[in-house]
Amino acid sequence: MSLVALCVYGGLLGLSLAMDKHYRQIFAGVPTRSSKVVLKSIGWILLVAALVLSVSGAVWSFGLLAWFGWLLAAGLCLVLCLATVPRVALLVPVLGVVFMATLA
Amino acid sequence: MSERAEAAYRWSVARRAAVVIVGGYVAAALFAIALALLLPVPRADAVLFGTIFSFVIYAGIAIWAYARARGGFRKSMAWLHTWTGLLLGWVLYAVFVTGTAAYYRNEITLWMSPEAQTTSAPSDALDRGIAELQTRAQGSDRWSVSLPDERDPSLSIQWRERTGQGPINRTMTWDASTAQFVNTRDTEGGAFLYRFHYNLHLPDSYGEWIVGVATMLMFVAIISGIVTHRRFFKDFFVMRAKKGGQRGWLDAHNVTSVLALPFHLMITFTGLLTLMFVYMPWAQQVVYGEDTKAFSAEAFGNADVPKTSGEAATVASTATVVATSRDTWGSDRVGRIMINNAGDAAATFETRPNYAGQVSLDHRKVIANGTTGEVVRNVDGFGPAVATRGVLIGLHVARFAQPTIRALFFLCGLTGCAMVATGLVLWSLKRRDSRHAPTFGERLVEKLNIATILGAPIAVAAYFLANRLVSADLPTRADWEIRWFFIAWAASVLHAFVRASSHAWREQLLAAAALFLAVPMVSSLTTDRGLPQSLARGDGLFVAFDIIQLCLASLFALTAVYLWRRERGVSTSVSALAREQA
Repeated sequence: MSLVALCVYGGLLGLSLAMDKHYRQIFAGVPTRSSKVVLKSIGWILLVAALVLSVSGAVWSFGLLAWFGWLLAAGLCLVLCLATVPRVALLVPVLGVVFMATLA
Repeated sequence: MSERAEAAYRWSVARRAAVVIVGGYVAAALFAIALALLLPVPRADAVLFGTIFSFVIYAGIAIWAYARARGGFRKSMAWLHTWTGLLLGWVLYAVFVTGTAAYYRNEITLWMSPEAQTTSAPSDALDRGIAELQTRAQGSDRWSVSLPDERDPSLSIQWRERTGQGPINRTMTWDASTAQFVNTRDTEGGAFLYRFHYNLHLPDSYGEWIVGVATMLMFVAIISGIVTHRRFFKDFFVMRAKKGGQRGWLDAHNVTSVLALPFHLMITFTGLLTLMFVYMPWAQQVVYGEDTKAFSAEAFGNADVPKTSGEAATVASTATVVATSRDTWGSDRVGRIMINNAGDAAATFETRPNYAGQVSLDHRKVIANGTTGEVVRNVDGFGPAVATRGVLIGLHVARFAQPTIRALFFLCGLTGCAMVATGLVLWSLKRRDSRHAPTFGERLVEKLNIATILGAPIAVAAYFLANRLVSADLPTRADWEIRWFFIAWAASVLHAFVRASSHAWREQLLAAAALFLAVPMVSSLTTDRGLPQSLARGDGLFVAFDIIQLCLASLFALTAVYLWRRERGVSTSVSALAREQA
């Protein structure tokens, strides 16, 4: 479940960084054409991976609901980061992993 | 616009709306009837398919009729989005707030019944429940035992008691700390919020119709909103909070709408389906006439409970019916057992599964003879439309156990509240203009915005507070809790209309924060189940409830501070500008 959340967030982060506007918020300058393609591909791959991971659980319908739910939760988190403290958007997955590790 | 041109404009708007509302409804009803008669599936399924699709047809007709009503397609859709969103936006917001709370309906009820510790139930729960009913509910024609499951750990018994003023439903809940069934304080709990979200606590079906119209408008507003949104993907992650003003609110409206779009579409459509035969009874009427019982028998396997015979008989053991239920559904899936006409020769048993492990809200049941214990019918397996309806309605009511998915649904619901609220605020802001005084309509919208966007949460907080403050032995105390809900809301409305708007926003935000902060504090003072004790006891449900109240309190307080700083910021920049010019 938490891995799904992480993948969804990573996917959305990749897709947002493939846009000039958000790339500029975090790094200096704009992404090159090739790095845009890479970021976009990583984004979609992570989103699809999260979906596959999520629906391959015990009950696929719950997996599907969880994926849509995480899409909103991760999206809200990313949007709020970008709107207030853009660089923290990169730290969120790290914080997530640390949090999960302390719980485990 | 001259007065005459304006009158002509209003007339044309009203005429087209009337044609779309009435004509669209008739067309949708005819479509439902046609499918019900023509589809090559059993007639109950055909009726359901026709009725389910008729709502899509209705929305489609509205979009089509307005496609060119205001010039280009996009412009027309923007107009449609603005007005369908505004018209019953306040009702919709109240529905969203109470409906979102209702995702935790059972949990709210448990919190509002603090006399019973429900953290664990005995292993022989069913036998104990029936034994308790035997001693307490003799002469009642309807007993039931609700068994614990992964979602709701409580064990409770219900029975219907005949009194001079008609039947009263009694309930007792298992208390783990004293190991017996106890009477909890008289409360409607989460069920009140749940019912309010579709009937607005109005008699007959007025509330259901108002909510239905609001939901249909929302369905049209969502579809037209998607078309209107020019930068759906480009602005997917954009929120210019610092910019404030219209821009910031529009971003917030876009983000809350787009990120939770699948949820918004699902909840609106399935919301219409939960009461589909109230709104669109025609296909069912044409096929079944007045005999709706035949429909529910064919579609869901429902049967009438037989009348009492007057002949006494002892209640049989429920072992067979429970064993059959477990074999069919799984050993931990028996949710509820009902015993009708206990003590009479016409006694029956009926079991229902819990929905802890599935999305679909189906109608599986096992019915048995109550004097012999033999299974009469095992209703399992349904037609394609009944199954479709089960999944769609199951998505809406979310009875499953998964706590993470429930929390995510709750977040989706909150996002829906934010979407409607930001949309309403945006309507006001777009029309705010320093060059002319606000019209009556604009002032009314602003006041209604305050009185619902903050009035609804204030009412919910007051409802929770009333549960802890209204004396436990006051007769009809459950009604008093509900009265407090409406008194608090009325106070919010009154305050919004009396105070200047900018003051009213801030003061009500602070009032909401104070009330939600007060909920866990008062709970801790008036019961032995406050936050510290619950933490010590490891009572997750009570801890989570109190923490959510604290989160809501902080949310309202922070918004008040944000508004206050923004206003001060604006006034200082205005005075700086004035100094510069001087």
